[in-house]
Amino acid sequence: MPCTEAYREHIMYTFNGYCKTVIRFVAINAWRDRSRRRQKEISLEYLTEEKFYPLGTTDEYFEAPYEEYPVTICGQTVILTNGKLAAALLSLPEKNWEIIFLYFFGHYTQQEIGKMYGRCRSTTGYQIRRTLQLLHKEMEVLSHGESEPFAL
Amino acid sequence: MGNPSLLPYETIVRVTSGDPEAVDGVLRHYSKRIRIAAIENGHIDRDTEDSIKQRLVATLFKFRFDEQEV
Repeated sequence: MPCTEAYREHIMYTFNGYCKTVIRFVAINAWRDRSRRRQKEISLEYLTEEKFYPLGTTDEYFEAPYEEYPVTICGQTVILTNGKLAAALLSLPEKNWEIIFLYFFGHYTQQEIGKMYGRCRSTTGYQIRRTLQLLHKEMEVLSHGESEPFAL
Repeated sequence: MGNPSLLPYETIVRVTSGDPEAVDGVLRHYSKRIRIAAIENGHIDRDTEDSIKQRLVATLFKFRFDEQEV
């Protein structure tokens, strides 16, 4: 029979030691984790007060609105927010703006635009492509400060 | 029985069989020791205290009466 008085006392001491050991080692682990974390962490106060890291940014869309470039096409005023695009557009003949506007914003088909100007569909398609190319080129020229003569 | 600072044998048996009241008794019995172990910079660290309690409860069920099986 193992349940003698001595055995009970032995278990009591063992249990006491067991609990004490658990508590001690958990405390040691907690302390070690804390010190490890402290080595790797930088406090927020240090960053904000010593280093002046900005913790947030303010949006600038509303403070500095885009410059507006109203352009009138086909009796409608379109407001462009890109100065270069507006300048490039103005350097092209008016007919080309209209085609571009009708095709991309008026949702007309190439056939319908062709009819309006007395051209066939493929010519309109070509004109649209050509105008886009010219716009692209013109914007590049504007941003690089060079000027090249171009022909429609 | 000799040492009054030890938990009674019956409590230990109940703890290992998963009696919540007995587990609570163990925590209460060792609360002072846990708080002392959780002291950091002169004050008791709540997180450490909780983690010690948690860990102690988890390990209580692993206590085995080894001699009984021999």
